[in-house]
Amino acid sequence: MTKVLIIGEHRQGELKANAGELVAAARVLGDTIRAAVLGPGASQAAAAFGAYGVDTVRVLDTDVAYSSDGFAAALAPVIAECEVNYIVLMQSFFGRDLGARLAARLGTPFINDVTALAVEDGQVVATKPLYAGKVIGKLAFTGKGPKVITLRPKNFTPAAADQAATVETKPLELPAELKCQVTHVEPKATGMIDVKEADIIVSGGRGVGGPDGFEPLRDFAQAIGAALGASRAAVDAGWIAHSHQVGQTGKVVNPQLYIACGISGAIQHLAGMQTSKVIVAINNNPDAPIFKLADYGIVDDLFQVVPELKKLMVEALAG
Amino acid sequence: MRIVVIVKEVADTEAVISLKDGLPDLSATAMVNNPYDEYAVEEALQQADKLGDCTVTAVMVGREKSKENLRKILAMGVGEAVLIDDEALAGADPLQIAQVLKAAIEPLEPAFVLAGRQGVDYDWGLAPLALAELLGWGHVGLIAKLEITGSAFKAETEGDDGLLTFEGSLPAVFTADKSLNEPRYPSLKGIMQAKKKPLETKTLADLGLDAAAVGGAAAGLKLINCNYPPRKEAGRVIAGETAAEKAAALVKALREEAKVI
Repeated sequence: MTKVLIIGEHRQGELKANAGELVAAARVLGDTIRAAVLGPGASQAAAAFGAYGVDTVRVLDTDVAYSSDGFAAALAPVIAECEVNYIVLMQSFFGRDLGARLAARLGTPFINDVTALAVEDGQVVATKPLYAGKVIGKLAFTGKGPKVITLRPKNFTPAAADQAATVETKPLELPAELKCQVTHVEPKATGMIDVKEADIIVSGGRGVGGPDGFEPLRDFAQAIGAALGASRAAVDAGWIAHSHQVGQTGKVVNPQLYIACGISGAIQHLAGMQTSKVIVAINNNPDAPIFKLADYGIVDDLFQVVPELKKLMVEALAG
Repeated sequence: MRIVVIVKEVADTEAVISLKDGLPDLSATAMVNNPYDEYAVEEALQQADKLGDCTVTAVMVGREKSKENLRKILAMGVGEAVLIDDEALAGADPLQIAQVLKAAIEPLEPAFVLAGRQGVDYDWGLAPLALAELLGWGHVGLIAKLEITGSAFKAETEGDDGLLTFEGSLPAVFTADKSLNEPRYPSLKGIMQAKKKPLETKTLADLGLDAAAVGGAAAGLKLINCNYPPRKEAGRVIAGETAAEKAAALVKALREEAKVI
């Protein structure tokens, strides 16, 4: 029997939809799936696991929004006691941070940012992009003991939330002394979607010409509910904040639709967005390398095309 | 007082990664300092200026030829460097690297440790965080801002649902994101001075570590093989006379062919 512990994520007690991805991955790894939820509102979030058929949830209901050392210390004894084989988290800020701390505490190997899992000859094989996706690695664990895995978002088809298991919760305990903890959370400004969560990304590069050049793109992105991305060239020039950067030293994204405006397509940018389902490139230079990767290219002035595209896509998405 | 900054080398981000027998082969690849580590170095230097009477020590796990890049870190203004060079470390996993870093860093008794958020090679981002756990210290990953007041710290980081403020006490480990600062370029004077700065090389035995435990042969992970991602075929250029016509043809294609909107 292989036991898998998934660590759910929630927003003030509301379980995030990526729980379906965690369950899907856990089903590849083992046959007994347990969950844990931690932080303010955890008890409320735990109940939502019933829809995925997970009936036992460890809960750390605390006022502490997050403490990596505290949360890892709360989980570790349970993992040892229940002889958990795999611990699965999302590759989010929370998941990568807690997963790392937990792996170190357990003295156990960790494979993060996994895009696929398979069991080959009785051995779990994890697929992980290396060098920001320039090559794709297949890794295996060696040795005994629990193993920690984090999943790259949007790579596992979420398990359906169509069951009605009754959830039994068991409490976890936070240690008395915390080395470090979150003391304040400033919620994100509304209307701004992160590139990592977006289904559509409108992205700008050197071709937008300056900080003002991002305005039509921002306007377009907001109108169609897309996130605003940027190339390293635009970020390094100081035209837009680093949180928008897509690429090897920015964020690696995989939306349904990536619209690259005025981006030439340097290798380190392509590494960060090449797994997008559909890529559109708008650039007035027909020789830009981005066109070699794009599903659809428009050779024209982006400032002429973007307003037209905005109008038509708003209509298309409304209808 | 001392600040330790952990640095490493990675393949140049503009480089294509060669594969040999299904595994990355960097023997002919230009190596650079990990871009995120430069933000950690800059932060260490700025914090040292603010705190006063402070030595910044760089620690790198690398090879003899890594000294060239380590000198570049010294040229930025770091005071001294330690290179941990041992062939047994080839293939070591991040947790083993954390054990090596602990053995090297703990005797230096730093007030805090800085590192880049992840190496742009395997993108683990694990060793500095594991180091904090092994030392029994707190850590904050992906920091965008750091304030040190006496033995307390306050750090800001972009979390999943908003901007997080962390508080805790030193010693601690922080990993730097790009929004933290703007790394300086080494000055000519810095480059000249770097040649004379202390750069000590240590082996696992020097650190009192057993190669059989922390070496690659005992790693908890194995890279089975690597492949290039499936190459996306170039698509088509949308035809049209005007920008409006092209936009209309594109929206039609996205809707009817690609079915993404």
